[in-house]
Amino acid sequence: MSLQFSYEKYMNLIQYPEHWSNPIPHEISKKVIYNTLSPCICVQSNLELDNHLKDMYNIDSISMLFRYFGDYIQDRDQIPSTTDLKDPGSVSSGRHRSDSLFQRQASECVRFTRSLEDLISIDSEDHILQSTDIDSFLSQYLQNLEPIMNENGTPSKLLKHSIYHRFFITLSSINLSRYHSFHHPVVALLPLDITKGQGYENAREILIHFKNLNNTLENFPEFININDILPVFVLCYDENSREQWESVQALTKSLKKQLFVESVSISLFTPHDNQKSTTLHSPITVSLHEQVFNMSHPTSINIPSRLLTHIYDTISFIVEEMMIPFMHRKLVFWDETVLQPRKSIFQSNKFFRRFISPKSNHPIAHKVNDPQDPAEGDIMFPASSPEFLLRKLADWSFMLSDFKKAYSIYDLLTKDFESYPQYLAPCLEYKTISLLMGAQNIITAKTIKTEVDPLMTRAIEQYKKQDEKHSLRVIHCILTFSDLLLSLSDTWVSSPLAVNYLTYIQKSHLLGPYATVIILERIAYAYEICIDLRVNDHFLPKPDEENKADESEAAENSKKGENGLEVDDMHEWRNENKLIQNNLRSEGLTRFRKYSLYQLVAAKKWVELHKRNQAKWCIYHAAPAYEKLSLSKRPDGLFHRLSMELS
Amino acid sequence: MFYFTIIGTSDNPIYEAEFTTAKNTFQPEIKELNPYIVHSTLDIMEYLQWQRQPQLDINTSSGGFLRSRHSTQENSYLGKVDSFYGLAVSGFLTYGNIKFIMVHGNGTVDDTVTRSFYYEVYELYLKTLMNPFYKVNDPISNSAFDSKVRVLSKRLFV
Repeated sequence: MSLQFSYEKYMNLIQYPEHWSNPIPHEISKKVIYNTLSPCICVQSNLELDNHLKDMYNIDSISMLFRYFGDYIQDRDQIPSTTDLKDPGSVSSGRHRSDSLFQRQASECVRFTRSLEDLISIDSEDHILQSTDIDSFLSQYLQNLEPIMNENGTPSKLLKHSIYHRFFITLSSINLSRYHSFHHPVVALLPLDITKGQGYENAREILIHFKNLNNTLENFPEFININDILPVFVLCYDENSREQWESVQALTKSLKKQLFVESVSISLFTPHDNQKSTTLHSPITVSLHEQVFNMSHPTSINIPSRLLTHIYDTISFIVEEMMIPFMHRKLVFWDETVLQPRKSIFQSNKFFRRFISPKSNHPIAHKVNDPQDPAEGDIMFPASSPEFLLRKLADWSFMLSDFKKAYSIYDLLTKDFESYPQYLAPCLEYKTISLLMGAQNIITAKTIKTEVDPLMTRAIEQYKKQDEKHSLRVIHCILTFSDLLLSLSDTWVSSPLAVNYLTYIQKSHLLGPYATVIILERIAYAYEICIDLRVNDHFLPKPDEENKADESEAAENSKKGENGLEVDDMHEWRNENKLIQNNLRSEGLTRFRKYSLYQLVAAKKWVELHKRNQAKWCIYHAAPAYEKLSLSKRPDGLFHRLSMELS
Repeated sequence: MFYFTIIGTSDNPIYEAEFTTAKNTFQPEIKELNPYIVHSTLDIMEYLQWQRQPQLDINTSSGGFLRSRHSTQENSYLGKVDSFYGLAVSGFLTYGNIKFIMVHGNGTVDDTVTRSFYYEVYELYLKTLMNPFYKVNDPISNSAFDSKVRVLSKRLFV
């Protein structure tokens, strides 16, 4: 069994109890946040191909198949690492998976979603999560976890983290938003089934249909520009058939020459009768809907191991050779046509602006007439408006890990969006996120207090000005901020801020009981890591060692007493009223008692929710602070009562 | 409603009292948490114990315990040191490292009144300490002490 610990295993930790004792991966919060904001690739449906897939692999659609291959492309999570299944002819990547949670290039994360039509028809800004949905999901998830926790009794901090991040991603939406472009598809995969005789004409039809979606779909949103989505044909064929291989080669050329569209080929329908197959683990999800779907439809998909490697190679090729260069090209274009003129002295100076004709070809923001959303003053910037293009430029720079550029553009946009609070709030949010993601190692206590905190406060204030139905967005925004703060190196400064924000969520009573307890545990974690930089591990009080030291000292004293040696002298030297020496260096510079209090409160809440194992683990973590105190031995005391109840 | 406690040098409560009226009482779930809230406040108290400059935002009015070395102001009273979901916690540190901590159920700390209360209790504590039959860190079971503290609390709070 593989002991390598990947991002996927962290997110689906419930399925890997053997990893529960692992340490918490470094900067995991940053990775979770980045993953929910990675570029989207939508997979268009093809009925004939989907039927063929259903017959051959029992997979509903090709879109469903690709969803299993999301995340950081070089991790290749689905491939069992103990076997060397690498295709000899495949594109070799120079990087090994063993350091999968470290040193990764953030720009190579991708998410696979449904077809653009589905995204438009099902998801919209109006389909907003409710806290009850989240709570019912958490209830179900924790219910599934209880028997596994019974079998693996050792309390795991990693599992608690994983549960928290599960909760965090349930709040992340994958809806197409008019306020940012993170969930807008960057690439559209247009699959073709060569085995069923689909050829150039079908490809042409599919492309025309795709390019005309904005004309054919009634509710096609104005904030999406179909030309900003790179179409790529995926030609699925049988490798054993010479004819098919030749037609794939010919089609690739003709698609490029005549339709100007790139294509990739996958030998998806090659029979691998005698070869080893791999059962795919559940995909990494980035939204509540997907998680609920996965839990309610547990499917087991078996794919030949060779095909698995082949699919990964193809995806790597699409991302590295097509998607990233396409994004770079677009960024350069928008930079030259929108950003540079915006930065010029003529645009930014009021005096010079008078000499420029007010008429321009750019579309401007206008009110939306949406019968489902009758909110007054709901403004929309069309996809080709300079403001939205700038926003897209910033978002794409963020996706490609150019946080510095993203930050500067968000900064520019905050001025443009001054009078549009709905656009301003997410803009400020991502401005803060890009600041924390990009400059994480050089952020000082002063920067946190003078720049980061005011920026966060302003973003939250802007969100609060909006309707109550968007309250979960505020929570998501606060959780993102607090996560990023907690992953900074100087936790002594950043943790209290994170605690303040998390306490705000608690006080707002917007979440259900399960989510509330998870937040309590997060506050406990923030206090646990709140340690002054001057204190290192050596100075921290270690209860077990302390006990041992006391015991050995007592034993030594009793020995001396038996021998009649200087017992009185020892007592004379020992002043019990003096400050305890062993933790003097860390006294006041940690928050372990606070941590224990929040663990105790969380335990109490878990008991009320009948989650005994969760409660037991909280008590286990709270115990070191209370065990020695007479307080914990009071029969009517909370700690004693809970300990007895759970033992 | 208030929950007052004196904490010894090894985090052990040596005196506890709840000042409530018929109308103002702690809810049962808060009541059972009070000792633990006080215990968690010790983290902040220990931090302030070694500070010369006020560092905590919540404590800008009073500052750290060591401040008195360079000023003539009293330093034992630390003011509002902590809060927990609508409850405020105030603190007082004696020169013998004994901590007086009080949970204020109304969420606010009236500095004048609280300071005066703490100093009067401190005087009572010193008198107890002078008793040759009392050892530091032992629970204060003297009923006279208790009744005097309650009288003080009635005069000051209720």
